[in-house]
Amino acid sequence: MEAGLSSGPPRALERAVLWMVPPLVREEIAGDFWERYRSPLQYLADAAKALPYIVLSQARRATQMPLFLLLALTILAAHGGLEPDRGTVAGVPIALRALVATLAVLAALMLRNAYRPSEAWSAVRAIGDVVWLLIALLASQAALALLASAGLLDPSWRLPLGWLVGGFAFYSVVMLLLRAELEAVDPGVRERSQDVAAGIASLRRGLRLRLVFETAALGVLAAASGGYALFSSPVVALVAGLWAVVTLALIAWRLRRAGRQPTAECRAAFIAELTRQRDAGRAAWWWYFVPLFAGLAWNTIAFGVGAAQPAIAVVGSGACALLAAMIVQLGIWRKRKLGERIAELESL
Amino acid sequence: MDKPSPLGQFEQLVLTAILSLGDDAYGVTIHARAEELMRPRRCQLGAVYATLDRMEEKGLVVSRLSEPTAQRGGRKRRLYRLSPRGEEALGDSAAVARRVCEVVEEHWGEQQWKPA
Repeated sequence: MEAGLSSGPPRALERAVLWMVPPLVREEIAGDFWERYRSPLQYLADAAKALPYIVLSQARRATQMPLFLLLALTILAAHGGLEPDRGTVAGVPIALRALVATLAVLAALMLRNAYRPSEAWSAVRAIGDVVWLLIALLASQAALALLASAGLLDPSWRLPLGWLVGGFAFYSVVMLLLRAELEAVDPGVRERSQDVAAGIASLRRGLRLRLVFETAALGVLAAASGGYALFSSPVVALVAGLWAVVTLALIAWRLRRAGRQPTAECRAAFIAELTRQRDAGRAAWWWYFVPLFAGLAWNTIAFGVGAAQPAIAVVGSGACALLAAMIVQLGIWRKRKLGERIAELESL
Repeated sequence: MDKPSPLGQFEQLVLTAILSLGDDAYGVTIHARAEELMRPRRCQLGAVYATLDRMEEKGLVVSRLSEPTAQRGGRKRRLYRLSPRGEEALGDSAAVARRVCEVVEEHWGEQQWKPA
């Protein structure tokens, strides 16, 4: 026993390496590395070779592809990635600046997913994700500013403040809504609780939070579209804002009604609630993206047609179709996940 | 549940390693056994972790944490075993491999074909 303990890596080295291992798999990876330990150099080499696989695998496992692609398109569009060059902004085109910001935010999101402390969904984690993305976004802009000040980059690579703040406000709300919508019902493979009472309590919390997020989004979207209407295209802002306000109000009202229904803490009630969620054909997220659809149509399709630039109109139509396809895929994915969860509960 | 999709070569190796290790299948031993199976080629420990992770998600293997042991610095092992779905997928792959072997032997005979 003691011999086994004494043959491990130096404590500081082990700490440094394990700090880089995602928490969800740290225990078993730490043991495996310890068991293979022969020398500090070999330990480091082992870790350096295995870590990229482990981090990528954890990131992939925690990343739901339809959701990720939907967010990617949303982030790109929200930062102006689909904004046509109207000749009003000097320097690097907005679309390229948005692409840099989007890549930074997506990389941060994947890292955050890989290093998640648990597979269970929680509101605190979702809010933490948003804060993390904000830090990544600001860090990317600070890095661009540093490079520009060193004369290595054109200063206009940074996003204009309006696109930076407005874009972030939009997709952070969308991200919170989608996470509450999708992940509250899917705690992940390893942590799916066999404890039905805990499971139903978690589902209830998720549904309540969804209601809170959606209601909060109502206010944010209304304020954002109001501000947008003051400074920019009032037609798009009015349509998008009013549409979002009305539909989100309807969703909140409908959810509130559903929330009043009594549920007993038993498996049958849990299955019944999950079945109700699955069969509801809930398509609320279509409405989360109304401003994005409106913006895409205005900035690309309408602009392309108006400026006799068919290529832009075609790209815009493609982006709208892609957005719609992702939303449909998300619906299918959610339904399947709920079905799996129901089957899992029924088999207990 | 629908039929499992065909396995990749590395997945077959890892599943075979788990099958052969019985109750002692965890990262280090699976990696060692997979290297034995695929010699003279080598494989990365990280690739084994990634494959195990993916196969667990696909429902081909199931895992549980063991009790901590002093030989591992007081850390637990994540022990793997094949799920019924994994057994079915490995059985299908083995059947295909067997047919391939038969055809190769039939055409090349033992003179030309000397598997390592």
